[in-house]
Amino acid sequence: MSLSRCLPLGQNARVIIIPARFAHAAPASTNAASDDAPNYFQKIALRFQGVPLKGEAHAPKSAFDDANKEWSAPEVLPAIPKDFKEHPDRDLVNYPYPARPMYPPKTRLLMMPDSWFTAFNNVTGVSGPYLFFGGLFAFLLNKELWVFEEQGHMTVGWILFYLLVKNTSGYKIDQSLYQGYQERVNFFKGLIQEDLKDAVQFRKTSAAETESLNAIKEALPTALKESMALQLEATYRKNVQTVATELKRRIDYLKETEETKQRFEKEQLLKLINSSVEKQINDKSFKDQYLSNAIQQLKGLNLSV
Amino acid sequence: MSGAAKRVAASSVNWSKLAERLVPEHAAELVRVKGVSGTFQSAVSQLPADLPKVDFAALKKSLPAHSAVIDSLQKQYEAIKIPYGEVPAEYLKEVDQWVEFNNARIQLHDTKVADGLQEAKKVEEKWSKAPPVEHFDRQHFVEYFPAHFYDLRYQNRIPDPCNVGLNETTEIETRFKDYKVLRRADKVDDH
Repeated sequence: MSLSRCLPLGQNARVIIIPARFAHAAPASTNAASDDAPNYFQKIALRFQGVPLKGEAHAPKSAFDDANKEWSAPEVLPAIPKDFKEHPDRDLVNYPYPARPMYPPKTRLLMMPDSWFTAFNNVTGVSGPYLFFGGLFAFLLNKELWVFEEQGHMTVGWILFYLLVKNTSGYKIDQSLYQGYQERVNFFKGLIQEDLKDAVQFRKTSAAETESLNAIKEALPTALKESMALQLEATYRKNVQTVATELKRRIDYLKETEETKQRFEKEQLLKLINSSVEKQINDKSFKDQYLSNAIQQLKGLNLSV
Repeated sequence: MSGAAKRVAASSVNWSKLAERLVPEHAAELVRVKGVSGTFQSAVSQLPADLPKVDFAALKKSLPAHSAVIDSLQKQYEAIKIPYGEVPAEYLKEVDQWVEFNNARIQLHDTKVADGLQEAKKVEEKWSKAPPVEHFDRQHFVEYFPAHFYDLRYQNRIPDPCNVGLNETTEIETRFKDYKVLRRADKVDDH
């Protein structure tokens, strides 16, 4: 239980705590302190209320934030399969598997098992067990069958201390213990997953390998045979190309010789013509005859100017 | 001209589809075969498939002086027979041998897979039979996680809660097997 609960403060109420020895010196204007600028004592009150001061983004964290809160697990434990048996001989009816309980069994008066009280309920009513145990305790104490030793009164202190710790930080303790427990469980779950992962991986890789081997079996012999056939085809085509080029070379030779022959003949003929023409031109009588022919032709022309 | 053997102008294998089905260990084999096949394939696609047809009559007309030569050329050209050849039997036999090897390999793989599946099944069965970890008993931790827990009731071990490694060697066990034996056997305690 936090200290703030001891103060009977509402959200808006403001109490000025003035230590008695300073009471005579307390300024009269204390009550009038504004919200914007709380004085020293107001700040303490605000702290207890959990109200953030000016300039603070959030309320300060308190060790007693979780006081009086009851912890409960975020998720329940998984149930044990109904037909789970460690051994086929196990008698599940009379000796069921001891499943781990999520919470400790119910108690009354801090530590008395609830089952002790409920057993009395039908016979003696609700107050019966209290009377019985109280009476038994009183009897034992009276007859000094149960002797309190001199330090026995310390038990009361211990019980008070237990109550204090339980109510102030019980929630936090439970939470951290649960967290540790979860980590431990997750570690073992991880181990199990790792073990199972190998099996799953094996299934996957072996299936892929089988598929691959089958593909090889189907395709590779054909591929090898075709590769050899392709090699034969390539050689054949190379030979075909050789024959074709050889034939082309021969035909080209014939064509070339024919062309050369024709060109040579042409050149010879031209030479012959040129030389005979030149010879005639150089002849004097031919020149004169040509000129007289030309003059006569000019004369014969009937020109009208 | 084209021989009696079946002529193959292109590989019928779908290389890319085949490569998708293979695991990396087998892909190397495929790459080698594909490389060889690709070399011949490119040679085949570059070269002419058959002898070209030559119009000898037109040639004779254009080269009347060489008609005799062209005639003999034509005869030779028509008479020529380019041998196609055939794949030697021993090479085909090698392929068959490889097929046999591959079959043996597949058989071995199948055996391995069968064994492995059995093991995997065992593991899966073990965990399917186990209770949830949250409800494990002390004995269960020893039974299911032997690497992390030990049971001194039946295991011959020295308690080693801090995991110092006392159980890694048998030194301690052999030393204290018989307490009567002194640390140094030669040292006689007679004074």
